[in-house]
Amino acid sequence: MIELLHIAQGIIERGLIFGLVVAGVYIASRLINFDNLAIEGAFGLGGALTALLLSWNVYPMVSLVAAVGAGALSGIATGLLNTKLKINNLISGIVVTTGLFSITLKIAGSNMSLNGKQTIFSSFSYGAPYHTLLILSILCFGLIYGIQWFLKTEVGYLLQAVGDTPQMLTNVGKNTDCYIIMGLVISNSLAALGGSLFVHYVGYFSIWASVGVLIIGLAGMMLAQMVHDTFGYALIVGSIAYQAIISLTFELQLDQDWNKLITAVLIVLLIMAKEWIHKPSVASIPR
Amino acid sequence: MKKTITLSLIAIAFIFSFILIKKLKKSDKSAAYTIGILQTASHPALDAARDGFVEKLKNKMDNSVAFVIQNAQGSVASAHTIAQQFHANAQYDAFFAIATPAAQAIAAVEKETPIIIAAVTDPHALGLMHPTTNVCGVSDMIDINAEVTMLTQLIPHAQTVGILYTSGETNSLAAAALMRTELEKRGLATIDFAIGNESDIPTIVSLACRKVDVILAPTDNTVATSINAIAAIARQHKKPLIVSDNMLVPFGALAARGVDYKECGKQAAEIAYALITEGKKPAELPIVQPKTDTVYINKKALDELGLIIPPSLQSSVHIIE
Repeated sequence: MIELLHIAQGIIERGLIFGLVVAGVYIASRLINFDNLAIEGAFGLGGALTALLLSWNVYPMVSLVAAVGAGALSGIATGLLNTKLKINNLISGIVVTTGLFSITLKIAGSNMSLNGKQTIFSSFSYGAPYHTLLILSILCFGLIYGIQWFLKTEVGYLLQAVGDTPQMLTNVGKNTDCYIIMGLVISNSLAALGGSLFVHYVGYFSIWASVGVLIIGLAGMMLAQMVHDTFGYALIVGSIAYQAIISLTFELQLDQDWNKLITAVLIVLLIMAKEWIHKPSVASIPR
Repeated sequence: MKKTITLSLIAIAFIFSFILIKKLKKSDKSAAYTIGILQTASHPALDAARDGFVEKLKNKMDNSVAFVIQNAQGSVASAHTIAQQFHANAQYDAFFAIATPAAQAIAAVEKETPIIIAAVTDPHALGLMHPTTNVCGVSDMIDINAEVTMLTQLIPHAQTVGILYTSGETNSLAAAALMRTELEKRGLATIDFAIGNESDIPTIVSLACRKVDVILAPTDNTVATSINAIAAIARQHKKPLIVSDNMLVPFGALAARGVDYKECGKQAAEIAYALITEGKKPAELPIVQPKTDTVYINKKALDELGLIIPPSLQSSVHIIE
């Protein structure tokens, strides 16, 4: 039983970290209707910058802020490519992720170990059990709460409108480009913060850590929508559910080559369950 | 209402399947020892290291050992998930991590149970080798000393050696520098031939063939991808080409004395045996350098060049027809 508890703890911790990526994917693809492939680049960038700063013994909190800042810059870059140069949104994301690979390599190399430097988890532990879980919960739930609040402000409403009815923004004399860039800044910042927390969590940076992050984000969002369709804590629940699926697949200990297929089948089953839940309500047609 | 019920049913199903899997897996535990293997990705070299490890350890321990093999398929997040599951499960006596990301993931989570690593080039740089470490194993650094010895034995008339490498590859640069020192120590002259990109190859290799007696290359990606072109030019000029990757010998290089990953896995198995049965502590064991005893020689190239295998190498040669 204690073993299950350990596994559950790991699942929830990773679920919280990747929950931020899920939130980033949601904001881009659902709120501003922009399939943001720069997420992976931002995740790596945040992680690399964090590893570098922590290796300089910078106060751990600073590394989180720096990662968010770097993520925001990558969001601005993606947005400008799309709105000013009129590059297709998928291509803008791919270009940014590709370019960031080199920048990430220059920042932290292909692999950087923290060698037991101070992280947010070690500096705020106070010897408490489950401190990692606690710190991650406060951070992630706090952020989601903050963004939820922001979406209810006037600017927040306009941000949501840019995906649905961009014409409305033009009618009230607002620049749609600004709001697209704002959405991408939030989306990429969240991904970069996720990358940063992942480095704090595992204690090293690897250039390959961002591989597959976008899939984690998308799958988490799909699962989150089983619980709730709007922006909220459901995103974290979805992310945790996806981590549980991955864990379950590994726990089966079958021939390793089948793992990805099992994961895929489990996701399909859950999405079928989602369809079944939502069947009576004709009004909510997923976009 | 329907939604709440469905969601809770799914959650319960999840917890139930975890428990069920645990129960089923427990019951088939007949072996005395269990080793968890975490492989970074599916790749011929890494697969070879895994097979070598499993084969050797099964042999040594008369099947009293069971293996749980997990593969992260290149994802660091998955490697971490697996590492955490390994850690949570008390049944494991040791772990075997193949390649750097796997080694880092397990070492980050598991601080007590011994971890044996393989196919990691520089474990010291990863910060894994502190005084109280639970990590030990085999590196995959090529043995430049042994390679240069092989070169001098196989081609005794060599006086000038051309070192062929790509200027943009950090690993190649480091290995090329070591080769230079090692060759000069033995009184041989060296000339560097740095490749910028693949299109430079014909020019640079022809130039090298005119200037030197032997061409020597470290493990280098550009050399590996254009081995056919390089070997063809070297043959035209009747110049021996020595590489550091055994896999390139069948493509026309004369010889190689590189890392054999299957052998690495076997060496790691020896370490695992010492840890499990002899009660050794990982911190007492140094990182083992890979054995590079076997010299791979291309028979056709050897005959064309009119060379013979000297008696000193005879016992360790693997001929490729």
